[in-house]
Amino acid sequence: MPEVRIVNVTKRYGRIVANDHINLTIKDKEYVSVIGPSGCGKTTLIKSIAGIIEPDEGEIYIGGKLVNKVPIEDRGVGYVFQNIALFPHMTVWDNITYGPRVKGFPPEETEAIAREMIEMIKLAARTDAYPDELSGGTQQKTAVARALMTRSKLLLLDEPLGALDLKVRAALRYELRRIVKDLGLTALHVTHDQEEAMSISDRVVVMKKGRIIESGKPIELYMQPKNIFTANFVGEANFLVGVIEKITNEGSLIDLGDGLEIISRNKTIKVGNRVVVAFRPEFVVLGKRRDENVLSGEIKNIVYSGNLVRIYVELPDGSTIFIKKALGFNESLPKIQSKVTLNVPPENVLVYPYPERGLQQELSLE
Amino acid sequence: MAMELRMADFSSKLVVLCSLIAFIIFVILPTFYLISYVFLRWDEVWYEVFANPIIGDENWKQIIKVLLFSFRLSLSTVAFDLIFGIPLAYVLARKKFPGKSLLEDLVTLPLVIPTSGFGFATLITWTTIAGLGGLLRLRSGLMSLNTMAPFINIPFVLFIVHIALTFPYVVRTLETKIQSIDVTYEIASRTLGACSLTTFRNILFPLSLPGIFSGAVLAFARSLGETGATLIVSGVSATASIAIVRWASEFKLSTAAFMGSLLVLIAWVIILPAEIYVSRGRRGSGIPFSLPTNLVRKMLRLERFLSRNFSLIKDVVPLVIVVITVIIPIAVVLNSVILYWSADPYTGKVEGGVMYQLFGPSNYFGHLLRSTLTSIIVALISTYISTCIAIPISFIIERRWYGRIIRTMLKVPLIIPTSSLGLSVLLLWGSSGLNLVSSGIWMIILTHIVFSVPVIVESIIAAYEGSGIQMYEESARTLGATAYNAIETVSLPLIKGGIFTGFILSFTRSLGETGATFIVMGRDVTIPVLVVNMVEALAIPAALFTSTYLIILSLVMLSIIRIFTRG
Amino acid sequence: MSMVKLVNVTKRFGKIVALRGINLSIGDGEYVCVLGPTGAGKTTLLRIIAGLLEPDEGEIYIGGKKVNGVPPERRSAVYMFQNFALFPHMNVWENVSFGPVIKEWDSEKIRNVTSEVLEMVRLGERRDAYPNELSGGMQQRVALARGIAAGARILLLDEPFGALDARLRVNLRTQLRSLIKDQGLTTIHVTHDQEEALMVADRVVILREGRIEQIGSPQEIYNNPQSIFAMSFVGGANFFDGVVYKSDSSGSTIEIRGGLSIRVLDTTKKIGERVVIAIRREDVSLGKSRRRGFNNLLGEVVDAMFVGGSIEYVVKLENDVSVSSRILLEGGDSRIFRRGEIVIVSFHPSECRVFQYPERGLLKEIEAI
Repeated sequence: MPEVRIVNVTKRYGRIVANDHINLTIKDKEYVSVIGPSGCGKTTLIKSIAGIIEPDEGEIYIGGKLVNKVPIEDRGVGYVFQNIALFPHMTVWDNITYGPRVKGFPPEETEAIAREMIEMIKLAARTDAYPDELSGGTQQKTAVARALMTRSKLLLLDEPLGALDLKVRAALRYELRRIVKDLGLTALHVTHDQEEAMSISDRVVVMKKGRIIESGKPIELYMQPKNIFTANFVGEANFLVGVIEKITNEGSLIDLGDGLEIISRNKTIKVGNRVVVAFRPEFVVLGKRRDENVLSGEIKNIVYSGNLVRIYVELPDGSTIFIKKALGFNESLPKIQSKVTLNVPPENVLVYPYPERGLQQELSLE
Repeated sequence: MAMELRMADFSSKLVVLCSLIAFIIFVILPTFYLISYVFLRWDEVWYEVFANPIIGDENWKQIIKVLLFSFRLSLSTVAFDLIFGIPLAYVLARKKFPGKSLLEDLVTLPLVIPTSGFGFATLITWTTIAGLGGLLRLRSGLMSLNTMAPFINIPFVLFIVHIALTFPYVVRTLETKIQSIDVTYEIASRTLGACSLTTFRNILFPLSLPGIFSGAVLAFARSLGETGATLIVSGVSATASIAIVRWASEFKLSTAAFMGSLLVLIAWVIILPAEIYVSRGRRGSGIPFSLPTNLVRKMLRLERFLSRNFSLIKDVVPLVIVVITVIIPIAVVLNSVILYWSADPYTGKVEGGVMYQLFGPSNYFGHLLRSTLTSIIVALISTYISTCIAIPISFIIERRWYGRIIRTMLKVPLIIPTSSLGLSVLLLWGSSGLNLVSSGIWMIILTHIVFSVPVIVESIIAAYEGSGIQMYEESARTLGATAYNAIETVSLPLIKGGIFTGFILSFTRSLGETGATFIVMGRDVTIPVLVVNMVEALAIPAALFTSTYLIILSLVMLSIIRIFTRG
Repeated sequence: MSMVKLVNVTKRFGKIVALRGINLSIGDGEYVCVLGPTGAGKTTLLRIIAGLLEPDEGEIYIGGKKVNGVPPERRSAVYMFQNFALFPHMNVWENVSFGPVIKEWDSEKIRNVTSEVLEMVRLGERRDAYPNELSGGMQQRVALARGIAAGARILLLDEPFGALDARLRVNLRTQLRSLIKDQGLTTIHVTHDQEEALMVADRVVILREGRIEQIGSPQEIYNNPQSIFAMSFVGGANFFDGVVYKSDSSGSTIEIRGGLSIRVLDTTKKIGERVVIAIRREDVSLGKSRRRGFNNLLGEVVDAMFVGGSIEYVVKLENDVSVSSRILLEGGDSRIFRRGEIVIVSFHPSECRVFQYPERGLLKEIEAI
């Protein structure tokens, strides 16, 4: 039985529709992330599930029960906040044991569960410390422990890593996943950081302007995003505009103008339609590997970033695409201003109908 | 270029210096002068208070008696305020509901309402037939001025007036404090399974304790120093601040000064520790759970039940208190003016009507016009001067290390009894002191400046701290603006609202101030003092009209602020 | 001649030493990133250069002149806050022309400079808009324009992308850099995001607990980290705790837990010395066979995570130690290993770095949470 079911949930603030008829099902023990740019409605959604906000329309079911009118304290979900929200006037111990205490658990039982939780979470803080004496990462871990002490099966995480340094974020996200999986919980994790979501989720849901754009496994969203916004929001992509010229058994031929043509495996868009072609920078190969999809251009810029390198190439028609590559052992690269040949495997070429509102608008991240 | 810069530097330093000097002369000196007066004239004081040849230490005994009564009154008032003010503060801070801003205005009203007018309104509501007595079809007022409230042994009407006037201090201070506490803590508590009452007990209450304490302290001090309304409703009892007025008018200046100094010292002794406590840590832990488990369970269940079913009551009861203590008197006054307009409705005599008293032989209308002129001149000039001092002082408080000291000192004029303040100004600037000013309009202005500056400063600082101005100033400075430039082009526009609100608040307060004005006015009479005179002359209908007039004036002022801050 | 120079700068706040003996020299037109964890002292450093704070010890030179005690308005170093601090009561035009207006240039010059700068950041059409009507990225450009119009020679950026979405940052950081480089401004950009620093900086200064840990170009820092902290903070790595048991002119062999041995080229450590071997995740490859000349260890894949265009594998070795390998996805079909698969983990001795075992313990140095 699914753990969370959101049916037609809508929430308005004046003229802004924060959640526009959202339908979403989260299976038991699934780790689902909801991502999207600021203002897309993901926070409103997670707060509605917790009962902090009441939707204007729609139903929310947790564990099969309708919870629309159930107050926050009776919904039995654990919640982790972006600004951590450890009670500043209580020690780590009092914070963690708060849940059981306000339910009237006997102290011995509370203590036992707490010790077990601290062990499980690998919390390295002194139990008599106050929150402001701890580092950000430790604070958030304490908050997670606190949320889990209520023994709820559903964990809601509202930008849980937002207040932390990048490096701490990168480490803590794996901890979050480990804890959730070890305890067999269902988790809904909201974030604006797609990399964070992609690395730890079973499924990722993409939202924009109050609606769900797409949802799927991380690798699906990365390799075969069904929506052009997803292609831009999840990872990076090159975008070129063209027209479908021909459809064959292997796929379609797209005319990009100025004599440039590219083949993709997509067969669904009809000939003559204006399209946008997208491909990820990691999939562009330097040099000519196959006969199909050969592009040539001049290197305009090379930007190093650790062992990754981004090579910006200007095509004959003036547009620029970029390649992302890992520097191999003892590998050297062509210089700036040299001419290069590039190859994009047809399997990695994505095709989308040209968006009505214009390309820039559709791709906009803000 | 360098010369210009140096001039700019110099002029800003000059401004700082001038404001500090003005601040000291006009605000600090008068506030503390009483104490130095007592020290300088210790022999006189000793003679009159303790070793008086005629009455021995009778004056001293009087002082003690009056102080004890005042303490009993003020402590009871604060206790009542806390019981009903805490829920109200919570509701105002956290809940949204239609009519909320109206409620907030009602709660703020006693802060600016002319105290004598309000005292008068309360008087007729409870003790005359024109008020509740008439409503309940009694032959006379519901009670008399000397009816005692049960348990605490304090005149009921006096008690009610003090509650009304001090309630806002508790509610507003606590409301601001609660608003500054991130609501996420409460949400977190609820997601962990605690109902709202349990959340209040464990989370909000401990975290807002400094606000509760602060509010209680301010309310206590306000009650201790309350003069204007008390003058009208005290009947035969005397509070400390009334005693000052009486003794000053009997020329027992040393006794009055001694009482006044005692009150200033008490105010000091109260605020200083309170300030320190409030600014220190918030490390008080939650209520310790050392109770036996089944008792804890019962308490939790009770809290859950109350949260579910009785939350409405906690919202409504404080509202009722506000209605009884504030709205009904105002309504009664407005109603009575209409009733009594042409003649006394009970006797039919024209001489008992408002029109007769105003335009007849006593010609109170003429007095009213003159007083209005006096009041407005005083209010305008004192508020203007106070604003000029307050703006630089606010910036000094925010930017300099000694700012905190100044801010603490500024609280003193707000809580010492206004009569003490009046006396202090009289002694400092008048014939017993520097002899630069004589009683009258200028001395009234000087007195009003003393309590106006703190009001405007607090308003500006609230706007300053709420808007993250420091960041804009720093930006401006790195873009090439001198500190002075940055203030002029960036900070001032951004705190315009605070300056305006402070101006209006202080103007209104000045219009309604009674206690201090009473002592220093000489021949010039302001409207609130006129009310007191009318009451003493038993010209009740005239007093009715004047009170109504004053109250409407302050209501209008308050709405101006509301419109401005909302728009 | 350097544009900004700090000599022995120290700053204390009560008992906390925010900056300790900082020595730093930044050239004209250079784009320097100050990188470090929260609390390292980066913002303090920036505020001292701006003149918003005075150091307790040490001197600051801007353009060759000593500026200790000189107020911010005379330093021509513009400070950009994380949330841009655009004056809310002024529109875009008024914000951008603020500097020139304050400096009392003549009105034609003000108009020319302001239009020019607005065109440069491509916001000419929004000149009448108020800050709260603009998106985050646009606000940032206005803040930049405002600094340039004021004639700043030095830009101080305090976590300029902190207030923006993660995905947005990737696009904006290169745009911001080109705008700045076109103007030839000297820039000091503070951040805790090492990827950001690596992408935009000419030079990176790693700050830790008030001290400079290492200075160098992004590539230098990445390829040649001088400390475990630097290596962990910038780029991240696998760290093995071990003891040297063989050492000759061609390299050393280090024994780690479970008796496994790793060959490295480092010859500076003595036999019996406790050391830490570090190898970047990108330098660890997985395969089904041993690679000649490489270190090869047997292990089982326990996790495969998708990390933005790369896959990160966690492999548990025979000795129960976990190793991370990060492999960029490539065109065509990439070989993906599944959980539970037995693989051979390979890395070349030349890519192993060896450090002395740190006093504070390894976990403290890599700041594990």
